[in-house]
Amino acid sequence: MEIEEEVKVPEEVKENVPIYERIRFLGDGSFSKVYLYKNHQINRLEAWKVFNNCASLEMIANEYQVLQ
Amino acid sequence: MQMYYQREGIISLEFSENGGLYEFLFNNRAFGEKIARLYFRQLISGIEHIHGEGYAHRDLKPSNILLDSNFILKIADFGFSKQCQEIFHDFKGSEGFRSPEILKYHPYFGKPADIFAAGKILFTLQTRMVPFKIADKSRCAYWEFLCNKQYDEFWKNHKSHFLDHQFGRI
Repeated sequence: MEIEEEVKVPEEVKENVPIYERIRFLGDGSFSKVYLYKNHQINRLEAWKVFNNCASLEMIANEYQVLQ
Repeated sequence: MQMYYQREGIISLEFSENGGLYEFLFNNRAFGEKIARLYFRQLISGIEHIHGEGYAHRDLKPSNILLDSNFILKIADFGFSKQCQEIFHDFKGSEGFRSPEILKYHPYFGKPADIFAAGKILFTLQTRMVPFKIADKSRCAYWEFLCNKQYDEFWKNHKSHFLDHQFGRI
């Protein structure tokens, strides 16, 4: 039986596959909306907090700093 | 965790599969004493960690508490968090969970404000309601009973809320 040659995905095709896929809306607050995203590269679900115009850059940076 | 900023700011966070404690409580039933104690311990442990790192959360409420895939409690939404050594003058927090000093526009510390909110969350876990919406003179449960140390009266007044959920609690 012949062994099929491994099919290699061309690099340009790989580059065009989106890493993140939006799955669904999870919830919202005064300053942000939260969506469920899938990271296809590492096969992991992530919650993305997307801030709206009411949120200042300082507020976003502050939250990020505290979480770190 | 990552942060991106293009047209809008985005923070990617760990996904908590069992959603918010608020939705969980209101789609199910109030917790019995054993489960409420378990979650309150987890909450206090989380608050202790945040305070230990030098921050106050300043917006603790059931909708800012998440449950992961193993139903372990996670504290979320640190948008109002600040270093807890500071004395705050701003009106932060959410209705029903603000401490009396915030409501009076007095300068306040973040740690006691977090502990006040945690106490109200404990009550909510067992009754699915807050004991009083606003901690001021207009609320009998707070002013007449708690501020005057009439604790027996307070519990007598709220007994029915606990009894309502006596049967069929989680």
